[in-house]
Amino acid sequence: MNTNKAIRWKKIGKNLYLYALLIAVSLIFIGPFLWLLSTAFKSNAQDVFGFPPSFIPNPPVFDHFIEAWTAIPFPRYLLNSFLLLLIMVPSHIFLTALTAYPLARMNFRGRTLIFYAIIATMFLPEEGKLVPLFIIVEKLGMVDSWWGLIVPGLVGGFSIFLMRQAYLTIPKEIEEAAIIDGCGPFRVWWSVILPLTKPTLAALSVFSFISVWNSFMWPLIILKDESLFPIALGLAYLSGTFGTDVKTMAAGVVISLVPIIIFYIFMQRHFVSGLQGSIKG
Amino acid sequence: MNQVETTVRHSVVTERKKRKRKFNFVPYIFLLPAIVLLSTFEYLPTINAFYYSFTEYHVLAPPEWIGIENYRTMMNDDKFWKALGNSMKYFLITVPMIIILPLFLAILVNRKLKGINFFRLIYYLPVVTAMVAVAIMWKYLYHPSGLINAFLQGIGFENADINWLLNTNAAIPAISILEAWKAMGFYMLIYLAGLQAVSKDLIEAARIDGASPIKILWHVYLPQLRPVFAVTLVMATLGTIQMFTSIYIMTGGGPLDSTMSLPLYIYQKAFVELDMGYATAMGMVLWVILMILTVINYKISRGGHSVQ
Repeated sequence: MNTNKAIRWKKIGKNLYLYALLIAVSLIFIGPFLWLLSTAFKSNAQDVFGFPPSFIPNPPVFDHFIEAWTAIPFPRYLLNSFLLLLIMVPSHIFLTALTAYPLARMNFRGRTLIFYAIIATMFLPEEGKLVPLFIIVEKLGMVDSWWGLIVPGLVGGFSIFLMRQAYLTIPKEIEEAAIIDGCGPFRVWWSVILPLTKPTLAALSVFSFISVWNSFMWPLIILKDESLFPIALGLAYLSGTFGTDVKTMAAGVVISLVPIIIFYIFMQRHFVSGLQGSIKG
Repeated sequence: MNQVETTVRHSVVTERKKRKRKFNFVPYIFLLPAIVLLSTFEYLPTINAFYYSFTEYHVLAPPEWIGIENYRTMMNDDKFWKALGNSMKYFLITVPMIIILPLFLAILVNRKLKGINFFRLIYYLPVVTAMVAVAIMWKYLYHPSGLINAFLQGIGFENADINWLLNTNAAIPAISILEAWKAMGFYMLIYLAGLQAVSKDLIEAARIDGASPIKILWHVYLPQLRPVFAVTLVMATLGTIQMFTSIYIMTGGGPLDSTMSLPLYIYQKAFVELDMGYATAMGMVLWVILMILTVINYKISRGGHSVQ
C-alpha cells in the first residue's frame, strides 16, 4: 500500500515536471500570438513597447479592431480570400483526383512516363521558372486578374502523388464489381472509388486551404489592383502604410489569423494524417 | 463442332479487341486537363527559362539573344554575390535549428500523457499561420524596446537594446530564428511519425540492458531515424534557400542589402527593374545550387549505407 502510493506520487511528480516543460515550450510558440492579441486590445494611452513588457491590456479596448475593419479595406481582402478558397480548393481537389485515378488504376501506354513527368514538376524550383511563368500568364491575358492566380495552381505534382497513393490502397475487386454491374469508367471513379479516399481528400483540402489563404509571392507578382488582393497580400500592403500604427496593425493581423486558427482547430486530425501519409509515400 | 469453336474463339478475340480499344482512350480523357495545365504552367516555363537566361529581355521588346552575357554580368555583380552569400548564411543558420530542435520537441511530445495532443497542436500552430502575418508580428517583437530585448533583459542581459533588424550583423540571425520558429512544428510531426515507427521491443531491450536515455537516443533512435533525416534535410534545404516572404516583410533586403537573399534579388530584378533575362539567369543558378545541395544532403544522410 505504502509503496504503491509512493510510486503513484513519484509518477505524478515526474509528470508535473513534464507538464512544466511542455508549458514552458508552449510559451515560445504561443507567446508571440498572445502578445499580439493583448497589443490589439491596448488603449492608445498604454505603451506597446518598453520594460517590463505588459501582457494585460488595461483597460481593454475594441477600437483598433473597428479601425482595422473600417478605415482600411480589410473586409474586402477577407472576402477575396474566402472567394478564392471557394474556387480554388474544390477545383484543385477535383482535378487532382481525376488525374491521379488512371495513374493508379488503369493500364495504358505511357503510364509510367506520364507519372514520372508529373512527379518531376515537384523538383522544378519556383524561382527558376518565375519569370517565364509570369510571361506566359501575361500572354494569356491573366495578369492582374484572379485567373492568373487560379489557373496555374489547379494541379500540382505533390497532390497528384498523394492521391495516387490513396487509390493504390483500394482493393481491385471493388472496381471490378462495379464494372460488372455496368458502371462506366467515370461512374466507377466518381461514385465508387472516390468516396473511399475521403481521408486523403480531406488532407488535400486542408493543405490546399492553407496554401491559398497564406500564399504571398505569386499574388504579389501578378496582382496590381488593390481590390483583388487576398488577405496575405493585403496585410503586407498595409504593413507598409500602417506599419507604425502598431495597435491597429496588430488588430488587423489578429483578424487575418482568426479564420485559419478556427479552421485548424476543427481540422487538426487531418493535418497529422495527411502529413504522415505524405511521408510514408 | 470445329466450326462452332472457331466462331466462339473469333468472337472472344473481337470482344477482347473491342474492350482493349474501348479502354484505351479513357485514361487519356482523365489525364487531359492535367497534361494541358502542366505543359503550359510547368514544362513550358522551365524550357523557356533556359532560353530567357541567354537573352536580354525587358518585357516590352521581344527577347534578344546575347549568349552567356547574363552569366558573365553575374560574375561581376557584387549584389548577386552578396545575395548568394546571404542565402548561404540563412541556410547555415536555419537548417541546424530546424533539423535538431524539432527532434527534441518530438521526443518531448512522443508519450501517452493527458492533454499531450493540445501541446502538439500549439507547437504546430505557427506552421499553419501565414508567413506575412507572423513576419509582421515578429517585426514588432524585434523592436529595440520590444519583447525579445525585454526577454533578454529579464534573463540577465541588462543592457540588451539590440536593434535586431537594423543591425547588419544581427538581422540575418534574427530572420533565421523567425523562420525556424515557424517551421519547427512541421518537422516535429515528421520526427514524431518516425519515432512512432521505432520498434518498442528494441527500446525495451536496450532499457533492460541498462542503457541510459541518452545512449538509447544515440544508439537506438537515431540510426532508425536515418531515412527521416534524409527527408527533413532535403525539405529544410529547399525551404531556407528559397526564403523570401519573411525578408520581404521584415527588412525588404536592407539595411545596405545585408539581408538580401537570392530569391528576393531575383524578384527585384525581374519585377521591379523588369530585367527579365538577367533575373532568369540568376534563377537558373539558384536551381543548380539547390540541386547540388539536395544531392549532398542525400549523400550525407545516407552516408555509410551503401546497401539500400
